[in-house]
Amino acid sequence: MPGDWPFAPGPWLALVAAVVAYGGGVAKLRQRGRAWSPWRTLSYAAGVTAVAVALVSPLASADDRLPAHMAQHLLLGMGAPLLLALSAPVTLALRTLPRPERTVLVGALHSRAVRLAAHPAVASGIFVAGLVGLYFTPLYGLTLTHPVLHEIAHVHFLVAGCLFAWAFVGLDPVPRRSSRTAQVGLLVAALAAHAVMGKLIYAGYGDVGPAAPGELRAGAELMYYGGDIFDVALVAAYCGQWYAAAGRRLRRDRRLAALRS
Amino acid sequence: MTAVNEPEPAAGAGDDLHRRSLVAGGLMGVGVAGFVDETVFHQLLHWHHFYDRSTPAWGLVSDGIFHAASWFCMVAGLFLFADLRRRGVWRSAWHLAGFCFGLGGFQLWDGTVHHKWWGLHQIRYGIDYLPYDLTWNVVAAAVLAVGVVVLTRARRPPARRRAGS
Repeated sequence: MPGDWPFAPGPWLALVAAVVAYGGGVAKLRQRGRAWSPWRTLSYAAGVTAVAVALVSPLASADDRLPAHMAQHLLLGMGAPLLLALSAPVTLALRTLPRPERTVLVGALHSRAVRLAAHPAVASGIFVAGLVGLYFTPLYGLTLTHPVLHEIAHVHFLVAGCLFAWAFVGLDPVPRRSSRTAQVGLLVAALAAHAVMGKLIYAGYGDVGPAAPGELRAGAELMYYGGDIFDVALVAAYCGQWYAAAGRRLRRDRRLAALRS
Repeated sequence: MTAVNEPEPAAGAGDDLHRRSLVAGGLMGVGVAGFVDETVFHQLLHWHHFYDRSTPAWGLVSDGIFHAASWFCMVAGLFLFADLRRRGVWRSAWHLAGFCFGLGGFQLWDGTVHHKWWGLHQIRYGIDYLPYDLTWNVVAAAVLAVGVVVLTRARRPPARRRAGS
């Protein structure tokens, strides 16, 4: 029933574990007297809160209705991943994990699977394909009747969203092997695909289960306009990273020029 | 954008550096045009529809790409502008010319290709289309013309500009 707090021990456990892990890492750095930007911690807290609102709040109890589902989609697949990417949890783990665990993490980061999945083309492909699969096949209808599929869809949103966000922004050391032109093209294409799907669902071309026409339109509009907010935030993070990197190069060049003269 | 990591050119560098102001202005022009289209015509006036039944599927794709690209242009243009200011090489006239090209170009494309040729959607529904279409496209052409004038004046060498005025 809408308005009820759901019984969701799995997500609660995962959320508590996520908070303890990041908080423990930050505490360890502080003990060593090393700095960690409070903005990153804040970004992490906001990201975890977004996941909590999506999965363990009354919103989750109402997610058999399309507008509530779309709000979850935006929080899990877009809002939380961007905030988490900006909180640099992998960097924190690399700095604070004991040596054996760190070796395992470094190995995983360099593995072929991670390098492939974190490539902007693959990550945006997974992001878009997941949306096509969910909203343009009978899959969405099945998630309404099969609780396990329902949970898998939530996890998929979060994982695919994180891959997508990490491929384009984020302070973590992820191998990025594509030109800036290709990155911009892929970013715009993926965001355009999201907007187009929002309109197609609105027009009734999607397969989104037994939603009443009013709910269908409200859900699709939420997907479209909510996606816009995410677009701007993601592009600002992407361009902000370019701006910061160009600023570092500029300062270095000025220092060199001053030394030469 | 990759060109920005070159070392700073000496003062008085040619058109190449100024072209970056033109690009920044152009990006912001496209961004503003997309933003105005979305907020003023869709959301405030409700002249445009969120979705028009007659829109073909590929028209929807074109619309979506323009929508996403205009957001990107706006944000990227602002960051490029900030970078040029930081380097002290921003040129307002070139920026203005680029802005006019971006704004006018986007509007003319929207007004001719999207609205008329592909018939994606109309400017307003239930009225005589002609005055709206004419106004839309004439304004777009006028903005482009202003861009051409501003750019021609900016490209004149400084000596001639001083002598001419």
